[in-house]
Amino acid sequence: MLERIARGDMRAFETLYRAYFARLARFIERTTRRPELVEEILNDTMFVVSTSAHKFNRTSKASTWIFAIAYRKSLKALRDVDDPVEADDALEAVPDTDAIEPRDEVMRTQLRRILTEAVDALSANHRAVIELTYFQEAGYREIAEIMGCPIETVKTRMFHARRRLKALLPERLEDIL
Amino acid sequence: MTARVVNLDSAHREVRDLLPWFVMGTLDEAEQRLVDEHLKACAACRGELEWERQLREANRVALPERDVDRAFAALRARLPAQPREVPLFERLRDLGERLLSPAWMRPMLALQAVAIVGLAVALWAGRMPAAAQEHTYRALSRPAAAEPARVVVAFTPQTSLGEMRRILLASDARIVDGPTAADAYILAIAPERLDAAVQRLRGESSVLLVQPLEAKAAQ
Ligand SMILES: [Zn+2]
Repeated sequence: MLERIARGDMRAFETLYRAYFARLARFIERTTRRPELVEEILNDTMFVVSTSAHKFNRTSKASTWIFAIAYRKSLKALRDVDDPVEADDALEAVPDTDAIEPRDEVMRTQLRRILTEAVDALSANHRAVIELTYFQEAGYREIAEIMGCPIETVKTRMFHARRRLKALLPERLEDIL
Repeated sequence: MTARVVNLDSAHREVRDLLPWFVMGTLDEAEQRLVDEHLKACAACRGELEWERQLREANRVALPERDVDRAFAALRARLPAQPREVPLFERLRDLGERLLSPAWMRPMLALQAVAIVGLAVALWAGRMPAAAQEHTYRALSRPAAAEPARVVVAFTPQTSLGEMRRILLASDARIVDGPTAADAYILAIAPERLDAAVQRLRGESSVLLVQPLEAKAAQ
């Protein structure tokens, strides 16, 4: 597919675009938590895919290559809008637990909301690891390739993200778990 | 005893770090077994696993859908317009026929067609950049006469005129035909500079295809 795109095959490119659109949009939105920037970042990513397809060397999967571009574009967008990529002290964003009601269904929904908010409070590279692991179902080796970092760094980021999520979640919620 | 505790401890840490991918089923078999074994013995990791499942569930939240048609239209407007519906193989074949139409060249048609088909196959198979290319081209021979060698090149659609000019100057090449229907150019290069020029052209990131055409000496 990327070979056809490298030769300027617009139909192949459109097929690829549509196949990746939802996954990429989600990854970018969860990594940047900037819904208003998602389409721009996504199109910047796919622009690079279309113009650099001839540089794709089959040492990695096509999806890994494309997500790696999306990850770099996401971080760049965050830097451009002065949103910290590394800084990890967004503790003010600790979710509010008073709203939780002790009914099962409600509890479940609340729990999800709180966890989602807790993930939002992580740094961008922690959010990316979480999203790639739990939603995009990538293994840690692939995540290391996408993020351009050693495997150990992925494991460490994940461990810190989990620990931080626990810290962000109030005790009452831990009891529910 | 101490050594054994340390081992257990490092196994615990290793497994603990793998749990997110264990829950997702993205570990390899050996790692999967390692975690399975450890979980039987470690209550802490079993507790952690429950928490992992919650995390996985929480991350399955759906986000609002986006309009793919609108987004693609926006990107399409940024990409250079270039209707390229003709398959590569046909484009190369047409190109070969055009180039080889003069009567004196006709005997080479078969040989050239073989080279072009070989090139097309290599392209389709995606083995263009390295070994296959070298291999394919070595099968073609160099012109014996001192008349300029001919080379087909194709540039990426984004290549600017300035960039093209720089590449041509650096390779001591002149355009003698093109752009062809396949968007390729025919370059004339002095035979003694051919090897260096081809090598240089292949090193350019905006050059998609480099195909020496002279096959005369092979006859
Ligand atoms: Zn353990």
